[in-house]
Amino acid sequence: MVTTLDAVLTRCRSSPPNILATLQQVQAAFGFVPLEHVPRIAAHLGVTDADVRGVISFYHDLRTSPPGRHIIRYCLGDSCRAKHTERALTALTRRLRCDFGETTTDGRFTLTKVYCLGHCALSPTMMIGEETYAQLTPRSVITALQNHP
Amino acid sequence: MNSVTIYLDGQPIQATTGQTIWQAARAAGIEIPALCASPNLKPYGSCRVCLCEIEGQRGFPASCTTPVRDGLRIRTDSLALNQLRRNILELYLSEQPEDALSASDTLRTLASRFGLQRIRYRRPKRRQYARDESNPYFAFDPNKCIACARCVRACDEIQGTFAITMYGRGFHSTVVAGNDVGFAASHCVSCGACVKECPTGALYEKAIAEFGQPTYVTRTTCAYCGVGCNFDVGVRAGRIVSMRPVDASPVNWGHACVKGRFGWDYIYSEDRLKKPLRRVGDRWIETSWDEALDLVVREFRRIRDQYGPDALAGISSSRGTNEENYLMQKFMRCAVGTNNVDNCARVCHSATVSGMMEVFGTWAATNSLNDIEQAKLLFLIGANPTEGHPVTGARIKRAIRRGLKLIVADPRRIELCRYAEVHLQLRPGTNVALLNGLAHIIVREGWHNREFIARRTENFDAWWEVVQQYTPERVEAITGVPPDRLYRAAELYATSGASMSAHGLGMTEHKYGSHGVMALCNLALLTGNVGRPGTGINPLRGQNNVQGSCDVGSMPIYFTAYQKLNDPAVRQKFLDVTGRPMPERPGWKIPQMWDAALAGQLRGLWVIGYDVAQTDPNLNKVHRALRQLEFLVVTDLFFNETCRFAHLVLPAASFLEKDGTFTNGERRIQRVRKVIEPMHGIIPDGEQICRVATGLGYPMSYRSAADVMEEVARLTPPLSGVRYENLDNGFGLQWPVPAVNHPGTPVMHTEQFTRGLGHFAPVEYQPPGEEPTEEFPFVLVTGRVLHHYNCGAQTRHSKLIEFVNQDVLEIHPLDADELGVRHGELVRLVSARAAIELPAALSERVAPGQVFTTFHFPDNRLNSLLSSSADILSSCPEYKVVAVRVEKISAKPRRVADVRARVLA
Repeated sequence: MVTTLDAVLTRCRSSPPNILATLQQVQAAFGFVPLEHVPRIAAHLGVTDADVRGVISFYHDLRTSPPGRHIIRYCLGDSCRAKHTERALTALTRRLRCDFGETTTDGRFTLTKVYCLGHCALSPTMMIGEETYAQLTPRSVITALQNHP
Repeated sequence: MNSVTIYLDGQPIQATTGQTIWQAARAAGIEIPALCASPNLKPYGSCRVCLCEIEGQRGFPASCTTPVRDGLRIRTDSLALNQLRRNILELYLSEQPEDALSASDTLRTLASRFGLQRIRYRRPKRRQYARDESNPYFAFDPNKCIACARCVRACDEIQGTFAITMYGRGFHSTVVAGNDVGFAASHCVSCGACVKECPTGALYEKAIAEFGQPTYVTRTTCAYCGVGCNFDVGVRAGRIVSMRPVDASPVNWGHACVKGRFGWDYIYSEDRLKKPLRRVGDRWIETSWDEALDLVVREFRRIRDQYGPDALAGISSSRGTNEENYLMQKFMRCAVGTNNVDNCARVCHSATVSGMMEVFGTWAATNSLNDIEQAKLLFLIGANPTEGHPVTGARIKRAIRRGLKLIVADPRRIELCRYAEVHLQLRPGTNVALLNGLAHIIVREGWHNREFIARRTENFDAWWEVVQQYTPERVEAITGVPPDRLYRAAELYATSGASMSAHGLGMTEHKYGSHGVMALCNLALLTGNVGRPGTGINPLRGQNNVQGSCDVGSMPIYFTAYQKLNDPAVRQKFLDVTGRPMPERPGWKIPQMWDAALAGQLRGLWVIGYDVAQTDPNLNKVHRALRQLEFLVVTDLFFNETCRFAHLVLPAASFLEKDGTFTNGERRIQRVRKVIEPMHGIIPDGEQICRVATGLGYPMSYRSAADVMEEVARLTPPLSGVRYENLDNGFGLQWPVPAVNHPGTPVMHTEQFTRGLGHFAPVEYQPPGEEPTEEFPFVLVTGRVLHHYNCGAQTRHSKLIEFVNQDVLEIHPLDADELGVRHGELVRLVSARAAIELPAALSERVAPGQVFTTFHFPDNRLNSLLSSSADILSSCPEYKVVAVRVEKISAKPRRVADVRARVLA
């Protein structure tokens, strides 16, 4: 893993340093940004630990712990709410036994919330990995999970 | 800058374009209430308290982010505005912990000013974060944080460290240090800028939390390094509770470093000497002041009568005031009758004096620290301001953001190298070759200032004879600096338009330190970079009063202001004022005193505030010399290493317990004011001297420190206009002050040099006193760290010890690898004189083949490694180049508290 971080960092040189882009690269490589790497990332970019840590804390999409194999982005936008998305959501969280920001104990899914996936005509919606699921019901939301073992 | 007029609540105010309404109002003396705005920071606009109404505009813009325009009519005080403010303050307060509601910070002061009596929200959300109390001096309570980011911006904009950051979002946002590791473990340098900015008491000083808010303040000058920062010392019930940097100070402009801001707590250390101690056999016996001072009188008289006055000597302190130093040299010259008086400037910047005397005819910084603002380029050589002169270090960082270019010449990769255009990483002891090499390129390329050379200087041709041999190739062979870097540095220095140089002990503490300073001065002459703002040669003085202690004559071969001992007119002047003919034989410099003691010529010595047995080079010899003395009296705050050799130890008063003046590194004479009475009934150093002098039959007594200064002024041409009442102007006085009411001289040599024409001093490179050999393959360089100060007498007795509690040996990882030494492992350091043991710290700051350590802790007797080699002109010891070898001891690796590694890694 150590060599991989170096490999990622060598791709991230720019002036002025781009902390966010670097963190995205790190996350793409590891699935998350390991906090113990912050000092090395900072040193590589010529910024301080605080600089990097602040950016990580600001962006919800930057994770600091390993995610599940599949990331569920569950929409809580206005349109989905209007179409009673909470019904499907309740079914989902019951089945996964985890809340937003959490990962299932088997490491299969990480549940995250988003505000609008842009498919309002087909609300309620969610994404699992790169797949989009629409017109969710308490039943269909469970079926969807089965596509992602 | 265009001047515009705005109308603030009907009142016309002159403002400058670029200012915000809030800034313009403040400049006119009107404070618009605000939480996130600060005069020391850029506009931010987050707290919404500084709202205003502008005629012809809708809504309530924030005055702290709205730029002024000509003719703006602004209301800052109306029913609607104050209602809004009250509501906003109520929201802030609703989130504050309940126990904090009675505190007296800006937030709560504003709340009561706007009549906020109770909070209407019934079940407000409060956060439950843990307090960060890791820093010894201040703590952070995140639950009181209103996320205004003043602390984060202060760390970034004022200190330039960016150790802390805003963390998270919305209600949960707070401040964390470093990688959320707490203040103590982060890069934080504890300058206190964040604490000073915090408007809610979320960041607070532990001393104030313990003892309460100060009830009054006294302004004084810091007694640490030569920057000379001004502080307001806060006192409550007779106890000092805080020292806050003064915003209007011409030196530090509201900023401070950890030592000055917090490291004053040593004055309350239990270890302080309280009563005089007399040695009886192997024991120390407390004695009364009368008895103790009587003993000094008796012993000094006995030695003088038996062996003559020249068997006695005095060493005074660059940490003492000008007045005390003057009294010490007057005591030695008039009461004892010898010129054997010196001070610790001998071992730091004496080479600057001899070097600058030769070229300019003067012995002090040519310009002011404020000139950093006007300089286009700063040439930093042999100085590490972010550790040794932190407020100047922070200032340099700020200037760099505005476009100042920086060249660093240093064997180590110091923190400022990160911001430098060029780092000239030369071998230790090769300054002269490097500087001659730069001069060579400048002349060859025709970048020199022919007009300046012709009009203001002499001896150019003889100088060029020497310097033309310093081709880049030859210089590379000597210094190890590649020609392209040399070329770039030469171009930058010669063509910037205003190049200022600042140097430290890396220039002076060499066998040819004076020559190095001359070579640096030559560069300034060559390019015309002297005699105008933003240029010049500026030694960064190590101790608070190195400049002043020399100015007032605590030197064996000069009177005050370097007046010659053998000048009949000067001698007559001193006779008239002191009533005693001055002794004629030039006195011994400190290193000569040790030789004299070993030869049996020096028999009695009084050392004030200077731990010679720890800080002088070749310690074993110094210790032998001290043991030879028949009578050694030491005046100090603490029982230091030198006390172990003493016959009598006298407690000293700290800078907070006495009146006087310090002269900082830019020749600025500033007041030191007594804040509290001397503790434990201590008789201050100056009075000790006067009483002993009187006992020796030469009555010395002064009503006040001001009277001493008046006497100094009568004897000292550059100080002749200095009077205490004129020092209260808020700016002090930068000498020369030739007449009373003269405003002082920020920039010297504007029309002509003190000696007339600037004298090009041809200097050849000569190798340092020691060079690496097969037996001793490493070069040892010594220096300082941020958290400690010289021998550590003060800092080791303060909570600063919690940051750094030992000296470590910095060694390059490649060298460590070869020796099989791991980080934190104890190693043996061996020179031709001695061997010591200390832990290794792997660091790429040092170049391979070099090792670095500090000298703040006496236990390892670092200076026993050093030789007696010293600058051939000034006797300034060669601290910076020692040939050593590093030996692995097969012991278990020990943990090293290496704070510096975190600052720079």
